[in-house]
Amino acid sequence: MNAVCARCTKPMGSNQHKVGRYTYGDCCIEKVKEEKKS
Amino acid sequence: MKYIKYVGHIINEPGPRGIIDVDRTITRVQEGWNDYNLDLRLDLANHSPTGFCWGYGGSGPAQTALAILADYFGDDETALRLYQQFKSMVIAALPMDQDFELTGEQINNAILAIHAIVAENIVQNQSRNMV
Repeated sequence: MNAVCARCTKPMGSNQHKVGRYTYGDCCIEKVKEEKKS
Repeated sequence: MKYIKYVGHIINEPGPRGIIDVDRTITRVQEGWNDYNLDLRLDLANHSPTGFCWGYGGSGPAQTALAILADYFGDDETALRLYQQFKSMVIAALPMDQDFELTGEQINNAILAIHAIVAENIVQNQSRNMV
């Protein structure tokens, strides 16, 4: 499956991070975690 | 991502001159989560306050494209950036008088195709500017 990052919509590599209902790539997971904390 | 799909459903009722299309709903179905119907997301863009539609390139399909992308990505800005192209590429091509199912994989493929078209346009514009 051609998965895309739920934040930037760019293709994700093999590393995919699920947060709730959404999946993020390495590209955006740190930003998403920071946003969840704040 | 676990299996996910959006199901578009037409609610018909008998009328004096035949069957009437009274409403259209879109339901998100995802493994491990409860199903729910999508909101129109008129707060993002008010194309079609009367409801969803599909099968052509108008305002109802624009509302459908916006609602699906806003839900799928969970990000309003992303949805607003991509929904018009998504409408033209995907929602307008759905059968107008039938229910539909749109999988997460189909959405991903459409988004990747949109990115490819945007990139191609950028390259073409740069080539024109260099001449």
